[in-house]
Amino acid sequence: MKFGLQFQLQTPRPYDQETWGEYDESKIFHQALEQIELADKLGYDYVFFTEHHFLEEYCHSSAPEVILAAAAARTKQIRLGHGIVQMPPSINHPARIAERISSLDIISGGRVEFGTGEGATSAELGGFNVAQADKKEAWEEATRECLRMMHTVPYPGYEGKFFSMPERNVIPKPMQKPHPPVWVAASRRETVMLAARLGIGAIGFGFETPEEAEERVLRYYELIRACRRPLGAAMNPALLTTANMLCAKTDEEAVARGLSGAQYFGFVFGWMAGHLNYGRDNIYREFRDRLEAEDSAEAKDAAVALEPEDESARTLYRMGRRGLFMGSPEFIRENVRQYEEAHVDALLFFSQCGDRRHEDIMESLELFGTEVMPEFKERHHLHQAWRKEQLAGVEFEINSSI
Amino acid sequence: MARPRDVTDPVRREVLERAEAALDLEEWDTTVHLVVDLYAELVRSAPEILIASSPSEPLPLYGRVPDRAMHRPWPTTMGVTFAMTDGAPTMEFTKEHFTMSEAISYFEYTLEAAIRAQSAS
Repeated sequence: MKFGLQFQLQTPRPYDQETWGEYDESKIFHQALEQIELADKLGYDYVFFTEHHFLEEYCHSSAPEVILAAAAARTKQIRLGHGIVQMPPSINHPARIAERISSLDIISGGRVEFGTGEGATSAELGGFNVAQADKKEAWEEATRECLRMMHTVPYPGYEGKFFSMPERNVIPKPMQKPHPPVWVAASRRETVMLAARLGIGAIGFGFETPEEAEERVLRYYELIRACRRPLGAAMNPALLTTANMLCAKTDEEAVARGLSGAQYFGFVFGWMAGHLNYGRDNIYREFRDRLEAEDSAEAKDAAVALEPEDESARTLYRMGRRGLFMGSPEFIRENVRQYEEAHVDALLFFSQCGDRRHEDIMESLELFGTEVMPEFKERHHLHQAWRKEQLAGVEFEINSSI
Repeated sequence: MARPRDVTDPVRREVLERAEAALDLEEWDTTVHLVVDLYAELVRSAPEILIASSPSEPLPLYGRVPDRAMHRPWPTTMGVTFAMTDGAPTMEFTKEHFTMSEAISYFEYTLEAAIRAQSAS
């Protein structure tokens, strides 16, 4: 199994102010780079950056290509992933995506992971005049053509529903041939299976349990073997599962340091799906006030009630709880083993969230990296042997970092 | 694990197998029409399979339930809408042609619904 970090660059507003201080965003950006540099030295395999727009406090990573380039310069081996690029051409033109991905791949020495997505919130899609009804079709068109731009000489041009362009040679070309490994954001089961049928990796943003993950893994690889029409020129058979992680010497310390950040994550994510008062909400204050309300004990008890049935609402629910990776190395190790047994290719951790302290995140990365991760990396060759069995008979070229 | 052959009802299984075969033939519209009809039949026969879009009350500590219709009882953002009218499902096509990813998504969603309907009966 491999391990990575996922960054949103969450930047809560100060509780007692109406907007951020002059250096609040800068601090989060530069602390993230320090965390990535440490992760690289410790042997973490991936760092992924989200792309969201206009989602205040929830995600200030609106130009991930910039921070990934900074990370490339400060690291040696960690792979640099877009988790994800928003593909509707009204947001990002496919040629510009191809140029940026290829440039980052060159700068990083061939370490890019090309995660794609269709966009989700009405705040973002509406901000770029993308209709909800069009986003999946736009994603498919743009991703397919963007990949063609990376490996065809010249790109013959295209007349499409969401973009058109004449013949051009899109340059530079990426170091990884024919293109970097391709992924799609998959918060729902049907999207994981879509990824398999298209021969691309699935970044599982659904906070799946080990049981859910195992079920998806088996079906995913079955569909990979049956894939006859990959979206790109090479397949990337791979499944990531995401989770919130905070490691400390004891379970109690980990929960004390980490739970509030996870709860805020769930809270602010839910907020993003509702009405937003741009430039005027203080979501962190709203969150803290609710947390400290008189009925918070009752609320916390109620929070362990049955999970919502709807898959998307269930993700929201799980996002804000302790989960399986907030604890001591012993606690976390036992749970990682469950995902290893489920044959998940990699775990991707959200660690920077809410008001978590940078020092606590750094200590967490160090503890996990030195006391949990090594045994799984030592056994990764066994997982690769299992994967080789799963991929027997696949006729298409494979470009995968797993 | 959801595969068409896991569906025990022979009529439903046959529809899903035809829908999956249409995917292999790149007949995306055929797949979508087949699974839309099947989903409506599933809901008519087992309305309990409809997934509530969100909890009926706000999630604790989260303040408010997301307004955004993520998927509700059916993914509505890919060209087929769903509504319950007088207790019966109404599904309408808002476009004529579908893409590969839309057809696959609708197929997989309906397949899982068919498995849920089995568990419900």
